[in-house]
Amino acid sequence: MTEEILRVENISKRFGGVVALNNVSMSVAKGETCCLVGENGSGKSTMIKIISGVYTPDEGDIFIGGNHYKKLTPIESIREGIQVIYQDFSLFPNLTVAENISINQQLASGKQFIKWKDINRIAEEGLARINISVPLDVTVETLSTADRQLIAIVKAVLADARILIMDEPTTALTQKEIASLFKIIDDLKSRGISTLFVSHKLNEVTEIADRTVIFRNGVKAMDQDAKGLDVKTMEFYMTGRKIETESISFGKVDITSEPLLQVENLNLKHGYFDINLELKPGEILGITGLLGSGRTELALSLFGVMPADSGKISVQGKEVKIRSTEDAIGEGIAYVPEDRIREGLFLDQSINDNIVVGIIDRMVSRFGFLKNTQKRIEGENWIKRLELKTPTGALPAKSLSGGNQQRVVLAKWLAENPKILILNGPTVGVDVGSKADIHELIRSLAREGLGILLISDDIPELMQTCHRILLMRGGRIAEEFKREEITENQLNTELIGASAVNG
Amino acid sequence: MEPKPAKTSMVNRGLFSMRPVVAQIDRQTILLLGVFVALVAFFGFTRDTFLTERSITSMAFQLPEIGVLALAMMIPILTGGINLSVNAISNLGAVLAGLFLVKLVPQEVVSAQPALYVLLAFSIVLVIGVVTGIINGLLVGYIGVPPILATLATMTFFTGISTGLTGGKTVTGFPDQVGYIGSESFLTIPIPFIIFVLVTVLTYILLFQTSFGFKTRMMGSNPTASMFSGVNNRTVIMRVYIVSGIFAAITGILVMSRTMSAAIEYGSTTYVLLTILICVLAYIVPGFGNVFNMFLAVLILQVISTGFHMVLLGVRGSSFFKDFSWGVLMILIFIINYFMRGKKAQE
Repeated sequence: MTEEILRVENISKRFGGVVALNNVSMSVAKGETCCLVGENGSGKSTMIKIISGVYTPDEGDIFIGGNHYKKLTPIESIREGIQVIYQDFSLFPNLTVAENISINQQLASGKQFIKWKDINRIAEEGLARINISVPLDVTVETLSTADRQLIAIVKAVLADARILIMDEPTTALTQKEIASLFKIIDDLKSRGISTLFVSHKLNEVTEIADRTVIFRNGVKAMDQDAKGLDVKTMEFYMTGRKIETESISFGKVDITSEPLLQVENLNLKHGYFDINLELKPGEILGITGLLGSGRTELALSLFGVMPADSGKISVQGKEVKIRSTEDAIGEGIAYVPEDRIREGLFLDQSINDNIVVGIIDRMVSRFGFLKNTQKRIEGENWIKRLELKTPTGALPAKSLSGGNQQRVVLAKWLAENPKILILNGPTVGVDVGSKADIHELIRSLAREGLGILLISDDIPELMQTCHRILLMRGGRIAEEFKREEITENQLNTELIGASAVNG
Repeated sequence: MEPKPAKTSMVNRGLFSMRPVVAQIDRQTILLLGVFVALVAFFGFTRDTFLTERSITSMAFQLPEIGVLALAMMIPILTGGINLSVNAISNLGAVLAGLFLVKLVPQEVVSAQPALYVLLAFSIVLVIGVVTGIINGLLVGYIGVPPILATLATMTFFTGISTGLTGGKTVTGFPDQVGYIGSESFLTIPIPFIIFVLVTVLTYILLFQTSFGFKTRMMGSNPTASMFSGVNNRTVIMRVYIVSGIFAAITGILVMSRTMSAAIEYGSTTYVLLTILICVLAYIVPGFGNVFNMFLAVLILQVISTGFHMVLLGVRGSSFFKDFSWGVLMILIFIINYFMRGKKAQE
């Protein structure tokens, strides 16, 4: 048996009345790539924070390299070689690559003056250790997400990491970048550095894991060798139910009907060029492309956030001017944004208030007073309709899991009763169970006659919802596919092919 | 698409439902009530003169000015902004109204119909509140200047206008009718205090019973999300600073009426800091504000001010001790808040 480097036993952690972890044990062996999988709210993050010393468990023991801890402080955790790479990487954007890499050593040395020669030497050594090259003298803010992640990894390796914990490391990466990240993880493995890889992208897990641990509702649902473990089995353990993908019913689109939305020769400088598209009632039109392909800019133009420079937008055959979000909403266009937390939600405000914010002007009495009761009832109707899991709509939106938060954003827009719904990455950061529900909701909305523009780079998602898929590349619509005429693999190849063109 | 129309008539019989009024009582309310009771008890036991009718009446005459001004500060803070020019607006309004009564209109005309001209003068103050509010709103909402810089600039600008017009001198010689608001009582309740209560109730209604208040609070929570939700942030900001300007102008009228004068140095920066202190005491943060707590915080400051004044009567440097005690109180509240909310923040 291989040497065990980390073991936690019978860990429990409660927050107020909520049990985040209940009697969970797990271990990581030397050089092992262990994937920790689970839906949002299953206890993954809590476990990471316990291992890194941020939280103290209510019960249980932590063993690292043979040392026993009841309480682990962050400093002890770092001394034991546990390094966490958070989603924001904790880098200093205004400092150079070299400074970022060497800052820990500089601080640890306790010297009052900085030797620039040392900074560059430490940074070069670090980069050489994982065999990558990044220019040393550029500031980190100019780097791509993938490069920033590499810098964070280099920092961790230089701090003599024995276990590298990566929290959802692939969220903002392209397929190519993910592949090179996996190569680095393998490389670290050959040097005996273990990786605890936290993710809910199951196809990635099958690719990288030696062993897979699945959490569900604060307990360990599965812990086994990753060989022969398929996505379906993992989904079952994650959600406790089978996800039906076969029995999808797509609404019929009447191709002779008048288009809901028509876009002709739309242009936006530094965004997209010469866009033409048509959306019929009941149709779900997918728009895909890599980051920077212009897909988000196009959506923002249709919603009035970044008005187009030239071109024509028509809604139900009538040409319209969309210069602001109010214009767009006035034309019955709704937009569910990419960045749910920043653009979609008022995290500290109640769920009800989040739902009614767009229609608040309709909830005013003759004397100008708000109808607070109607507001509450409207909110609770939507909570029921979208099967939001919450005891009451009076709780703040931040109390919800990712999937339920996305339902709040959807509810906000459905309450407006839109004709055209633009969804940008509707299931990013949403767990598998909620994802299937949201897809069914999207299809049912289309069956009711809404026109839906679905922007996504999640290929299975596009294949399970869209009637047609447009592929954007360098700001132009490069290709159009009918769902029946293409397979997931072909679409994947096309999308990655686009990355070669984009550079 | 739309959920079935809700039955609202059962609960919503009044002009607006009363539920949110109860929701105004929170942990901070209990903390402030505790502090208030403790302070009143302390000064009441140590000073015989503290809980007398005379002292209570005098407090009720003094606190409305800072109270209304604090509400003028509160509303911009709810949006994530601030209005440092509140006191400058009060004084500018008072100075202009004062000059109108004393210099602009001939004295014999004023004394012929004093009530009319006093009303006109007060209207001028309110108009100044609106105009200055529009200037702040334009700078913050439309040009995008950070509120703290924009209102610092307008604070200096408005004070500069007042100084230029008066040459720094105090404007006096108003008709007696000006003093009516500031010195009379209605059913033994001082009129300034009644005005303060009315403005407090008005603020509550604005914030919690109108869509303007709802949008204000949502925008304060997350301006990007409110923009994506179709809220016109600029209009909201504009209205917020206009309301703030009007409240500051009301303070101007109260000051003018109580002192029978108008001057640039009245209140000065101390008032601005005090209003911020009140908002901190009442735990006003972007998106969340409690009008009841504001009221309590104003009472607490007045009790401290009067109490210390009595305790230290005749002692040298007594005004220093008042500032000192406000500072100590602010730090204490921070510490108590840390322990009350610290655990919550960790989770």
